[in-house]
Amino acid sequence: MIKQIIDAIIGISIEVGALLFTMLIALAISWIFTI
Amino acid sequence: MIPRPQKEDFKVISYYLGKIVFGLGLMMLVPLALGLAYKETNPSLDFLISICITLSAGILLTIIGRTERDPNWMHGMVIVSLSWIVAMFLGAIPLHLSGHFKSYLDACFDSMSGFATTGLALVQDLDHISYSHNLWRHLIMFIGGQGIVIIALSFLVRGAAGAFRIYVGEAREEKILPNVISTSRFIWLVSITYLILGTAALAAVAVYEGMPIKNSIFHGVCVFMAAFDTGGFAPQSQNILYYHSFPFEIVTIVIMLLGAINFKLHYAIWSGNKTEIWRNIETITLFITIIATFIITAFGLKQFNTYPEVISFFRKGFYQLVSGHTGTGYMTIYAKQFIKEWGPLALVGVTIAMALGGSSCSTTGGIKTIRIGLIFKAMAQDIRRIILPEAAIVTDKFHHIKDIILDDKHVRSACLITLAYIALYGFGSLVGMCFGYPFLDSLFESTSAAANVGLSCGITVVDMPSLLKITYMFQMWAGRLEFVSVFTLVGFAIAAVKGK
Repeated sequence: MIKQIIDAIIGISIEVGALLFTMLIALAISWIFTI
Repeated sequence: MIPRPQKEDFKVISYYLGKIVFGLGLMMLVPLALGLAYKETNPSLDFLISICITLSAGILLTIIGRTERDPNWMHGMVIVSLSWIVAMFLGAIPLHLSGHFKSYLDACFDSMSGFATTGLALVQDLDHISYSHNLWRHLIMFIGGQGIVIIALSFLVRGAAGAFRIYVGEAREEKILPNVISTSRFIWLVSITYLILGTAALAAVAVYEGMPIKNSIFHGVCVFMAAFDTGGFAPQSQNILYYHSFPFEIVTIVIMLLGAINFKLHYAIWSGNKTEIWRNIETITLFITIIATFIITAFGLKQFNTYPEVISFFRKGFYQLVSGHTGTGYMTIYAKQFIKEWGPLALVGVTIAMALGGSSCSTTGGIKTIRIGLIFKAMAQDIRRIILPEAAIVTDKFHHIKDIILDDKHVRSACLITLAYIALYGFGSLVGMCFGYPFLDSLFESTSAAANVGLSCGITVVDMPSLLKITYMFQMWAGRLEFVSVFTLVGFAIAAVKGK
């Protein structure tokens, strides 16, 4: 049960991290198009 | 010769439809409870009336159709497509009674838009609607995003062998767990977990921005439900622009993207398969298409120098793009700005993003990225076949939770559904053009309706022609159910009339 909860917390972190990474790339593209 | 449906067929459909309608009636207790807590007398009465009608309809249908038979594939498809229409009519009752809609048709439009997680709205004076009606608008998005039949499968249908057939009818062909009822419950587990986390994050940002705590929680719950279920309704008429908050926009982008991820992928990652997100064909395609369509949109915005600063470029350009791609429809600009400030290329970029949609077995609409990925894989395979010697055997595989050999049946199915979506986008555009709207505006709004997005360039207003409202309602319904169950319903109706 504890292992499942830890796995779920790690999973949520991976998902949110991946999405923030996508946003970072989009921010970089925004920067390129505004210079 | 088409066999005419038997009395027993109608009984099975009626029985399960009754269960689903009953579940919908129970869901109406939530806004009723809120209305009573906030001492909203008239809105509470609206919901009491609606609950009585919905529960009575549910009980009546169940009694009429009482049967021990499990639904077959045809029953499952007909139950699903009918249940969405019935839910639209019943869900519109409290909305119409609120007095914020010009007609019952407008209330039905918002109801279908909510259940189909589209987000196009005809509600009037939204900023003064009651808390309970506002919660209902968002709750129907949550119900629709999870899948109306998911509610019935989770709580009302116990161990029915035919449950999977109803589940599939709602455009979810993938079972996450061996048992479809466990699958439904897992979908709820993911949604409730993110509901708690997402609401807390949104409410915290709202408090930080100066909103009272009570309002922050209400706005947090509503915005989460509409963002995670890629719906697009917001508690205020200015949509997300109302909050004027960069952190709030960042949180909603994350929630929208989470809603666009396949529930099967959530299960894999939550179960310890940490690398799946980087290997899965759906997430890879989603990532590539988001970046590609954003670059197209960025070129368009650059042409008109719409947003000269990097942060406003990101907050307006990327936000609308992600909102369109995930099928949410949240906006940080006014609808007319799309036409007046964005220019045609940026509009085309967002339209392509809307047309593609998010992952299958998620809450998004549109073609879905797995189909796009498969079509591109098949194209690459065909090019290799041409280049390599004739005797060479060319096989390819794709990764979706596990490695799967790319088969003609996968490609055929992906191409058929893609074609059906393109036809649906085109159909709505043609109807829009018949009413005198320009081509690009019509295509944008039609794609937004059919892909269950909700971004608007200004066509969807109360005074738009009724026939166009009905066209968009049909598009939302057919687009959400991915055609198969809709075609089955048409076939069933023809068989009932012409069959022998």
